[in-house]
Amino acid sequence: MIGMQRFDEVGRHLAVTGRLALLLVVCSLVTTPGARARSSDDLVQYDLSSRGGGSGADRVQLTVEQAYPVLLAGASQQAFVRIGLRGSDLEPADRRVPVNVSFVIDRSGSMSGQKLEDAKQAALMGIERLSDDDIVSVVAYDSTVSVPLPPTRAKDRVDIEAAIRGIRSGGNTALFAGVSQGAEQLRRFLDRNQVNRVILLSDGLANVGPSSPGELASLGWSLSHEGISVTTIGLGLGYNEDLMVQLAQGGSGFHYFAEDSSELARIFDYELGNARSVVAQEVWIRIHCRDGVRPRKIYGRDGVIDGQVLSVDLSQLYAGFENYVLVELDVPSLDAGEVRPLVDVTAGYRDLTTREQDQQEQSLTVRGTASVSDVARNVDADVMVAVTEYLSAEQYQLAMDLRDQGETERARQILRDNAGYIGDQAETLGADQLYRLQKYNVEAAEGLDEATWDENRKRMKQRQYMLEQNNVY
Amino acid sequence: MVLVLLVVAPLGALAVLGQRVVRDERDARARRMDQLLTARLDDADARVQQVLGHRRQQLRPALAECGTDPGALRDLPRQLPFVQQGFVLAADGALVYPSPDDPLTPGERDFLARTRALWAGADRLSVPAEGTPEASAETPLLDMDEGIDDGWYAWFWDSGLQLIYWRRDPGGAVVGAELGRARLMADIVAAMPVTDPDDPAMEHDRIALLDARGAALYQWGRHDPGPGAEPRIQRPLGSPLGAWSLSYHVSDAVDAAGDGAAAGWIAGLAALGLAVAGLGLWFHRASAREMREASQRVSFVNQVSHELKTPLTNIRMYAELLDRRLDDDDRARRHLDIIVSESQRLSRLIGNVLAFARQRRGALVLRPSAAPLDDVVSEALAPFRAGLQERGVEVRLRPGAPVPVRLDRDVVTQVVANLVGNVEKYAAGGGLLEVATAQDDRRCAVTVRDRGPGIPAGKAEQVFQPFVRLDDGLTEGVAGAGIGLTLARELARLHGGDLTLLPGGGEGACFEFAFRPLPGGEEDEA
Repeated sequence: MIGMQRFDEVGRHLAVTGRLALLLVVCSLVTTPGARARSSDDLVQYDLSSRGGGSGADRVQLTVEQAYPVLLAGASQQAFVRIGLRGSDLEPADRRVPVNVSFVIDRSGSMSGQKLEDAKQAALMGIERLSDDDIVSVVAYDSTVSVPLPPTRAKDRVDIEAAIRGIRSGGNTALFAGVSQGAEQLRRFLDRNQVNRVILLSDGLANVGPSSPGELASLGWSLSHEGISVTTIGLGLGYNEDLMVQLAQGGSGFHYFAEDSSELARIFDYELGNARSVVAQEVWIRIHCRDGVRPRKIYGRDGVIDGQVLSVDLSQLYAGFENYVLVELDVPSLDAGEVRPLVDVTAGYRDLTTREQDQQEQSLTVRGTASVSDVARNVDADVMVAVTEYLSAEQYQLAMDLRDQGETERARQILRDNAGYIGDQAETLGADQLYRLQKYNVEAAEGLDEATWDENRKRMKQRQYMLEQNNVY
Repeated sequence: MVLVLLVVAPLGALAVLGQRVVRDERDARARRMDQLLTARLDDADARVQQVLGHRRQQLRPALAECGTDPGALRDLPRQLPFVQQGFVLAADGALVYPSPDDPLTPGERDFLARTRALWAGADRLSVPAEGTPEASAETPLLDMDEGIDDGWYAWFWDSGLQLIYWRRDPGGAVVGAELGRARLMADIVAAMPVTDPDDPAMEHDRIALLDARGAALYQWGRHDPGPGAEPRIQRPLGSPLGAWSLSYHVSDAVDAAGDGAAAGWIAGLAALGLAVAGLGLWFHRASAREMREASQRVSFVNQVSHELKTPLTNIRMYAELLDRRLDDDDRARRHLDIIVSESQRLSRLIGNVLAFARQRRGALVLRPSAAPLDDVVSEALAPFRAGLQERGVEVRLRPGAPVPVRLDRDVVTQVVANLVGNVEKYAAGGGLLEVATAQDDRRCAVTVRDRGPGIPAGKAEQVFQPFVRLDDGLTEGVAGAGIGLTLARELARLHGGDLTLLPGGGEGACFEFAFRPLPGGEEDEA
C-alpha cells in the first residue's frame, strides 16, 4: 500500500519532470551568457550580487525566486518557488563566533587499535582549529560513559591532549548515553549566541540504551531546539547509517561517512571549520500563500503545511554557503497581462555577530501571458537547478528504498535514468555543478550488488543528506 | 584425659563463640554494605525525581499560559523542546485538541494513534493501556474528585514508556503535555553519574537503570557483571516511573575480601588458643593495621581530590568567563585575577596530589621556562602576604638570585608555597618568616626560616613521611592532610634537586630547597 503511494508520487514527478524538460528545451534557446556564467559557480555558491532583496542585512541575504515568473494564462498552473538564505563571508575580524563543542567518542572494543588512535589524533587536530576562548569537552563511551575532559578552554592544550590521549578502548556501545552526556557537557556553558555542537564518532551499532533511528532523531530534534546541534561521523562499515543520519537530521548537524579511520582527520577539520563559520542559527522560513494560491509540497526538508502557510526550520547558516528551500504551489488560472500576488515570505534567524534575532521579508508576484515564448524567455535557470537537484534527489532516495526491498535492477534503472536526466538538465541549463550529481548517480548504480552495497548505501546516505543540507563534503 | 578436656573444652567453646562472632560480623558487614548500596540507589532515584520536578516547574506555568488555545499548544514543543505534544480534554473528558475532525499535523496524527487506547475508555485517562497493569495501576490517574489539580501519567506504547504531565484548568478542562520519550531518557541519563576511570569508589560496582523489560537504559561503575548475573539489590524507581528499576551489581572481589579478613580472625583465635606466637602475631597485626590505615588515608585523599576536581574546574571556567565581561572595573578585575590564579594553582595542586596518590611520579611532566628565581619566589609569596600580616608575622625576603635560569615555575612555586604555608599554619607564633635565595654557576637555593616551635632533631626525617604531624599538642585543630612536605620533597627531587631540613641552632625551623637549573633551551635564556 505504502509502496503503491510512493510509485504514484514518483509517476507524477516524472510527469512534472517531463514537462519541465520540454520547457527547458525552449528555455535553452534564450539562455543568456550571463546566466551561463552564473550557474557555473560551485553547487552551493550562487552569485547574488546582481539580485535585490538584501533588505539592508549584510550577513544574511534572503532571495526569493520562482522558476516561471511568467505563466501561461487560461489554465491553473504549478509554481516552483526557491527561498534561499545565504551567509555572507565573514570579515576575518568578525570571525569570532564562540564555539562550545563536545566530542563524543566511541571507545567500544571494535574501536581498539588504529581506529581509536586515528580518532584521537583527528580530534586533537580538529581542536587546533579552535580559538583559545572556545570551549571543548570530551565524552567517551563503551558500556558506560566517562568524561575524560569536562568543559575546558581550548587554550589549555596540554590538559586537552593528555585527556584525549588517555582514552582506552573497552566494551559495548552506549551511544544514546554518550550523546546525552555530551549534550550535558555543552549545557554547562550553553549560550544561544555561540555554536553549541556535539560531534559523535561511532563505528558500531548502539547496543546499550535506546537504539532506534526514530528515537535518536527525536533526541536530535529536541536538542537542536535547545540550541545544540549534533553532527555524526560513521566509521567503517559496522554502523547504522539510518540512525546516524536521522540523529544528524534531527540535530541540524552534518553527517559524514569515513570508510577508513585515516579520513577522520580531514572530516574533523572540515567539521570544525564549519562550526567556526556559522553566521546565523535558529533559522526559520514562513511562506504565506496569497489568495487563491494553494501550497502543494515542500521538497527535501521537513516542514509543516498549515492552511495557506508553509513553515520550514533550517539548520545553521554558514559563511559563504546558501541554504535553500524549494516549494511547489498551485496557482489558479490567470488572465493574460494579469499580475497576481503569489507569496509573502518571512525568514527569521539569530544573527551570531550582532547576537540578536533578525527578520527579513520579501514578496513575489506572477504574471499571466498568452505567449509560450514569453514564458520561456523568463524561466529562471537558478531555480531550475534547484528543481533538478530536488527532483533527482527524490529519485535517488527511491532507488535506495527499492534496493532495500531487494529490487536491485529497478533501482539501477532509476539511477541510470536519473543520471541521464541530470546530464540533460546540466547541458540545457549550462549548470556544470549538476555534473557532480550525475556522477553520484552513476557511481550509485554501479554499487548496488551485494559485495559493495553496504559501503555504497552508507555513501549514498551521506550524499543524500548533505545535498539536502545544501552542503557538499 | 582430663588434661586434654581442660585444654580442648575452652578452646572448643572459644572456637564456637568465635565462629558466631565472625558470622555476626559478616552479617553486620553485609547489612552495612546493603545500606550503603541502597543509599546510592536512593540517590539515583532522587536525581530522577529531580528531573521530573524540574519539568513540572516548567510545565505548570507554561500550560497555564497556553490555556486551551490550540495555537499556543501547537507551538509548545518549540518553546519547550522536551515536549512532544500538547493536548486538551474538555471538562466532560472529551479530547478537544488535537481533534481528528480538524486538519492535523503529522505530529498530531501520530499522537492520536499513540494515545487512542487512552481516550477510548469512559473514564478518561484512567484506562490502563494494554499489557501494562503494573505501571498504570500505581500511577495516580487523573483523579478529578480528589481535588488534585496536576500530576504525571505513565503508559506504555510500542513497548516503551510514555509520560504525560497534566494540569486542570480553572474552567475544569485538563491541559496536558506528552514528553518526548527519547528526550526524557536523555535528560535522566544526563542527571546520572558518569563513570570515572580513576575513581576508587566505584571500582567494584555497577549500577544500571533498567526499563520495564529489564534492558539497561544507562549504567555506570567500573565493574562489568557480565550477562545474566544477579544484582545484589534491585528496586523500582519512584512514581510515575515505577515500571523502571535500578539494579546494583557488586564484584565478587568485595565479598571475598571480607571473608579473607574473617579467616584471618579465626586463625588469630586458634593461635591465641594454642598460646603460641600470640604476641608476635599481635605485633604483626598492629603494624599491618597501620599500613592499612595509611593506605586508607591515601585512598581517602584520592577520593576527596576527585570530588574537588569537578567543582574547581567549574569555578575556573566561570571566573574566566566573567573576566571577559569585566572591562572597566580595575579592582573587580584584580580580585578576579586572584580567583583565577588561585584556582589554577589549586587545580595543579590537586593534580599533583592525585599523581602522588597513584604513586606515579612519571605522571608529572616538567615544563621548563627561563626566569629569575627571585621573581618566582616573590610571586609565590604574594598570595600569603595578607594572611601572614594578619597573624602578625613579619616577612623578610632576601633576594640573591636575579639571573634567569631554566626552571619549572609551577614546581618551584609549589615547593615554596608549601614551605610558606607550613609556617603560616604551624609557626606563626614565632612572628618572623625569612625567605632567602642564592645562586651560583651550578645551583640555586631557597631557604625558608621561621621562629616557631622548631622540629626536634630525632624527627628531622620523619616530617617528610606522609601523614605525619608532630604530635606535641601545638598542632591541634590545624587543618591539613599531612602530605605537604612529602609532596614538596617529591617535587624538589623531580626537579633534580632536594628539600632538606637544615640542622638549626636554637629556635625555629629552616628548610632548604636546592636544585640545578634544568638543561636545554639556550635561546630563551638570553
